[in-house]
Amino acid sequence: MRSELPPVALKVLVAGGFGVGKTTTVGTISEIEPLRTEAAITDLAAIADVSATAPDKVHTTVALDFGRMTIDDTLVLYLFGTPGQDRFSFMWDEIARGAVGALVIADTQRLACSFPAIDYCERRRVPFVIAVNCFEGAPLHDEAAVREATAVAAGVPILFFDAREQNLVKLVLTALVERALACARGEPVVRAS
Amino acid sequence: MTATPSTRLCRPYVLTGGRTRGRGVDIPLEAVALTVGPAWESGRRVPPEAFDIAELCNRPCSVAEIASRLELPVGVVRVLVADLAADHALRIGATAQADAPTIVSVALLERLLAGVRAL
Repeated sequence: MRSELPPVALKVLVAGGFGVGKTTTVGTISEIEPLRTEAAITDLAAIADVSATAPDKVHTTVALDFGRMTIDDTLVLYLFGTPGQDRFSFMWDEIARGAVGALVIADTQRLACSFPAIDYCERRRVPFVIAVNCFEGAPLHDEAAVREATAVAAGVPILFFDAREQNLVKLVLTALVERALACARGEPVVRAS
Repeated sequence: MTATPSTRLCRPYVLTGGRTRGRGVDIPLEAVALTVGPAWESGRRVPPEAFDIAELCNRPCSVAEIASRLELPVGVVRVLVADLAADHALRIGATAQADAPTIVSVALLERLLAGVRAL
């Protein structure tokens, strides 16, 4: 019998609206070709949730994209792209449980697309950063405008990046882990109200 | 002829004997499994998919990766992995979920941060 232990696994969520670059972000930094799996709804509460919001569309499975980063021999990080459509948001509980935090990918031309992801993170106290994907060139809005529009806590980093650039995705990921660390050390995830 | 997922002749949960839970706790999607011993030692009847999982996990592989690579539903993989672990055929790596609902421990995050910076 082998005596070695499997590595410890951590995960981050890659969230945001439909078509903002979540899959690109995962693919840019993943050491494996991003994989897709079908994750099933496991509890009745989730089914009730779906029924309430989309009575005609009760799906029992949903596709989930993910990638992997080996940190060292004993630690591996998985990136899970959350389903973009609102009706799949029940899936997030499964992925968010025990997550380091969330990269909320935003597109300033359609900033509102990412509001559900931000709301979710704030409600569930998931540490997050907002990463504005600038693949179409210069952003339409600067950081101050994005901060005002999203009304996130002062400690939530807002970064501009290109989902196709590995170095930039790495910087955004580093900012998220720093943010998660600050939250773990006691900084509030959301603004005290 | 081998059965591909589209031509599978039995419903997925037949593989698990109708169970949606393995003989243990729910295993997170990211949990990494590693094969440490033979899957047939326990004398229990083991579905062929369990052997596929055991073979795949000769290198560390997460529940999500197993499901994707073997094209099995995550729920089925969870049950089979839990069974294999209960039979000491697989070992399952630690995750953050056991600790806290959303916030990962400071020590683990410090390790992760150092690692991500060094990449």
